[in-house]
Amino acid sequence: MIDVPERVSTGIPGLDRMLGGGLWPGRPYLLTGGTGSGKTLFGMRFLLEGLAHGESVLLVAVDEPPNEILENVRSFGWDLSSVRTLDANPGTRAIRRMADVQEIRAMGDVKQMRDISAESRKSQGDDDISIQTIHLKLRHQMGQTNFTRVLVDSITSIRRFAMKSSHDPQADRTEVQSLLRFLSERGATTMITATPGNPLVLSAEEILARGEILLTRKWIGDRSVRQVKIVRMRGSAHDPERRPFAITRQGIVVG
Amino acid sequence: MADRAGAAAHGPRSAEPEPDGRISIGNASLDEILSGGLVAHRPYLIVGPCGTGKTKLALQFLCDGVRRGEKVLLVTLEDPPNEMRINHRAMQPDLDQIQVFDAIPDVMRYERAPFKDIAAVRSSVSFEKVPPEIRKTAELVSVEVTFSALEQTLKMEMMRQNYSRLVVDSLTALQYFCMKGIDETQGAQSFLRFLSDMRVTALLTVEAPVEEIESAERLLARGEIRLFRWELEGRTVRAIGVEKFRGSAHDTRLHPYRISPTGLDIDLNTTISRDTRRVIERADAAASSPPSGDLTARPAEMSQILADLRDLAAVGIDVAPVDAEVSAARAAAQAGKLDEVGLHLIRARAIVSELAQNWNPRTAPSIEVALTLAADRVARIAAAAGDLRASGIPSRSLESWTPDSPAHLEGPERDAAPARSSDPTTPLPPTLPVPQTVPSLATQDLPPPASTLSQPGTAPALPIDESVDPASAPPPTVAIPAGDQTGESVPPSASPTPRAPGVAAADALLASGPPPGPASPWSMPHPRLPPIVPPLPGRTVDVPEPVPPAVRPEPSAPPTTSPARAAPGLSPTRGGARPPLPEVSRPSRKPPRGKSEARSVPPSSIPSEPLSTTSPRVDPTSGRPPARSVTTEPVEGPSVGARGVALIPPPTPPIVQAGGPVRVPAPADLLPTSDPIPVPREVVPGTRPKRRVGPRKSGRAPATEEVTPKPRRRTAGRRRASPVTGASAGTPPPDVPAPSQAGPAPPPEPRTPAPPPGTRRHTAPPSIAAADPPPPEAEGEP
Repeated sequence: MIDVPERVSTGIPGLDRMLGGGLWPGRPYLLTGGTGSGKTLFGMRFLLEGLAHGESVLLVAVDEPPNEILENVRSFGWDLSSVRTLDANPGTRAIRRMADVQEIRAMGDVKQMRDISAESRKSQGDDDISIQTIHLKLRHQMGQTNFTRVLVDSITSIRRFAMKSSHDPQADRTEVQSLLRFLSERGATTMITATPGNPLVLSAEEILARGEILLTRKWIGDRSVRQVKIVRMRGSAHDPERRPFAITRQGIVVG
Repeated sequence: MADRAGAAAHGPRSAEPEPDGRISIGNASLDEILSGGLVAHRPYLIVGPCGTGKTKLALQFLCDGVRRGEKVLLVTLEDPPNEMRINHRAMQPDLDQIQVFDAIPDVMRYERAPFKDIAAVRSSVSFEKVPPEIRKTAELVSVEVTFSALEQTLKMEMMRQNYSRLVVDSLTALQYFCMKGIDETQGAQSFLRFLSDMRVTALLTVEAPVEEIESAERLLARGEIRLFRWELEGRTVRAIGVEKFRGSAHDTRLHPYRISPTGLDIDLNTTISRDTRRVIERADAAASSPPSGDLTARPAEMSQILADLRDLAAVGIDVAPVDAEVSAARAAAQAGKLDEVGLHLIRARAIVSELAQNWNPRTAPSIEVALTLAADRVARIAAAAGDLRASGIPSRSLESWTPDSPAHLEGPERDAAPARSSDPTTPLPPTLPVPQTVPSLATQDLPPPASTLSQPGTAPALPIDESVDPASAPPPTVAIPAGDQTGESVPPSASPTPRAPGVAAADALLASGPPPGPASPWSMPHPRLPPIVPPLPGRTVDVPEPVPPAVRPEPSAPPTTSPARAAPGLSPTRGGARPPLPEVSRPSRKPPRGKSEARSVPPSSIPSEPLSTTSPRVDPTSGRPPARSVTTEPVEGPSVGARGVALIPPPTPPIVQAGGPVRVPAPADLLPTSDPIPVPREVVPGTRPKRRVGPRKSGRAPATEEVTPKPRRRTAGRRRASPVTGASAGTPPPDVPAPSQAGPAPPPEPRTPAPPPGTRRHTAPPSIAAADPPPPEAEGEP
């Protein structure tokens, strides 16, 4: 009767179970947590799962330069060489410009990234980091490739690094809405990492995300327990409780 | 609503006004909470954080209309229709008969491009006809969605089809994404007025964090249903309540609910405390609540009275007569005269009702939000007087009234002389404010109530942001001016007069109220309540703090301090305060003096209809009226929700609804000879503080993994269809393309800055305290 699409696996079986089977395709989701909570790892595992299915996946890297992310996940044995990135991290460039979509080479380091960036800096327009410029870049790139999974890491940093000092909240919301709508129309399942902000102020992505996964750390004495919780998930029964998870040598394990 | 089918299908219905009967909201439990359903032809709000089931509830409302053969319309600004059809597949086949209008803005072009008005391009379709893929933004033109265009669209839709029910999901998205250049608050207010004029029964969802204060547009709705989601000791607590419902009595309590694939399952038999977020245990009507002698029922009643007292005091009503009865009740408890306790409490309640009824909201001296909210509650107390009378309890104070004398319902007015306690051993309240160094009565580990506004003469009304910041505003106490203290003050460390254990236990129950909950930043008195009560002279109002989870009040715990100091253990459902034991022979009160700058604000004319946004308001943070709309300092952080804090004069008290059913069961714990009767409205049900809800669990989810059964797929192996890619592959949008185009779109112009957002700036994260699981959540699929 109703055509129910197949779920998108996050690559973490325990998390898929919590989600009631996985994510719905073509929708944006929020991955929130404080610094060091593991958001980027969850996101990269999500991208890796797409690679395993032969999909084209895209990383929009703002928080960390792509090569650093690569370093971080190498210990798990994750091969992310064919992840395409939109490098929007301001730290890798002396001036804020965005590189073209690059393929991460397995042995890339900062210097090498700079070289690559220098080469591709030729035809840049407005290269300020902002929702709008990222959107335009994505539109340009996704015209050529059909990315079915996109990780934006993190939207908090995009706002933080945005050049425009006078931040018009109304414009920000419309731009976020437009970007997420664009990704949905292209059929990309999008994970957006974010640091929780003011709990009393709703951001645009909070409203628009079709689900939210929260990563926390609970300190017991001097030990910490990592926890994951499905705050909400539209259209799917989900586990409402916090579950512990661990970052092991094999990757992420959700209990 | 049966005459809908016969009504003319063309033209708005304002030509022939139909009687404003009741419309079912589509959820039987919620209908009951609403005393019969929604009043027709008005807009209502469903407010709550993201992911609490607002859309699901709104769809229940529409599906109910479908089942009755009505035409119903959904305007979606959040989830695309194709996603909704998947999400709510369990609500078929009714869902397919709902007309849906896709009002989600298109992808922005960031360049000059022709744009079209949404009314010219899109129209509603039935859910049945919604394609499985998301609508694609047209390549050559942008469709702009502005709220005024949306109004036009709705008008056209309503003319085409005689919709009796309408859902807008969500008003927040309308404000966030469709208010280009327009003040969001103004736009939302205008939209609500527009819906009111259309005379369609409308539900609008509002995304709002739990602790947010009411905003201007929410004050305009005819009624508001509130959904809560708290995290309590690692568990998710979901509660639903009717926050307001103009012109109708309604259950004001919070009930737990679950989100099921077909709607919300609300448990009417359980209520949840607003401040502790714990389930309030109800006295089993027959067995466990023997007539007046059972003190375990008293604390809830006492706490309700004290909460009402707080509301009354907040709007400036002199509550001395009630105080006297309350103190008499305590005295009787100490003396072990349990029958008298009940009697005094009943009289106290009658006086509370009377005071509320006699209060004229137009004389309220301030228009701050805090007082507005208190005034609303006072009005509700007054409106509930009818319920009281019908249940045999006087709503006017009658000194000679006893439970056995219903004939005296319309007795003489009670004179102002308070009952006197002749018990010389009544401990006097200690000087306040004093940091509480002694454990309170029944709960040993209470944090002391910090007195932030404890000096007499300080402005009593907190700025709003402080009032909702759990981190910075622990429940304050208002000082008793020393001059009003009678006689010696008991130092807090002094042990009370030794009393019989039974009396002490009774007293503990009287003072401690329903079982308090864990201490967490969020379990303070309901954030919309002002934590500080404008002090009456000589009045000290303790706002209690809930107990840390490890400690449960034991009825048999001997009191370790005077009963007046047990205030922190009290956690009434209203998060109210408990005036300490006053000296009953207190001379007449002096009028408020130097009490508040807030009170010196002259009352502006209080309109009874929705306000225009140009009415002056007081800026809650600075006390100054802002220039125009509500403005406050911008919140740091990237994205701000510009929800102005709205300040309007207190609304006129709601009339007790006429024409609808009024349930008037007698409270079982008040009348000695009553049969077990369902718990009445407006009254906190009896509680049994010594019992806990459910077994004590370790706070982990069940060990088994079948929390979420794997959902059935209706089709096998359908992979995501590869989406349209590339700039040139444009599938024709399903919209009706208009032959004409509007002029060139303006470039992404600098937008009018939205009004600086609300005052909330708190980052206190919800903490996870220990213990008790609320009703477990199990969301299963069919």
